[in-house]
Amino acid sequence: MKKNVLFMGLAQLFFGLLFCAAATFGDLPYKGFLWGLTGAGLGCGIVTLFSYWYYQNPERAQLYEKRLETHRILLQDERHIMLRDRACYISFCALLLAEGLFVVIFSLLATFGIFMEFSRTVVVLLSLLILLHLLFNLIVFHWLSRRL
Amino acid sequence: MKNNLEQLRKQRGIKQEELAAVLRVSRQTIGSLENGRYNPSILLAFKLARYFGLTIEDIFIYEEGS
Repeated sequence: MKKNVLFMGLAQLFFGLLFCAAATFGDLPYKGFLWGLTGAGLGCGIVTLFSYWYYQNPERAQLYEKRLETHRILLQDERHIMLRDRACYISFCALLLAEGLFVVIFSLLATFGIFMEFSRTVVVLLSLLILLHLLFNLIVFHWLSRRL
Repeated sequence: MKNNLEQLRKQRGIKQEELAAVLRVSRQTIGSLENGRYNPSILLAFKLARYFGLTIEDIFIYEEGS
């Protein structure tokens, strides 16, 4: 395993400890956020350092190289690329459908005066999200179309 | 599109994993190609043809309307 993994793990651990110290000793209003960053830093740091130590063993190093090679192949494998594209398309359609459905549900709730303010906010936000989804889709499509 | 991939591979006594490693694709891709569930790109078709020392038409059989 490359040395930069070790440095990355150490950096994550350092920032985790830094955020932990700030959350513990600092008199700050956003402590919850700092505790979140602490968990992320320490958790990722420990996992990265453990995997670095684990794959230092020569026998496991071979296994790691094999895993990397498989990963590289899967990234370039055309069937996997096609499957990823299809999965993204299906997820995109399903998400649009779900957003549309929620807009209808919360519109009905707002009409009948149930959770009035909340329902209205959800309808507005979800409608914006649908618009953004479609807009991004159009922009990306035209960008890709110009490149091909 | 039909193909003779499985037949050619077995004739040469190669495993799916071995063929996949040479062509730098996943074993599942070879399996899907052999079953006719997946049609390869022109690049992969050329790689396969070159590997077996044949032409693309020798391996893949295009049927009108398929």
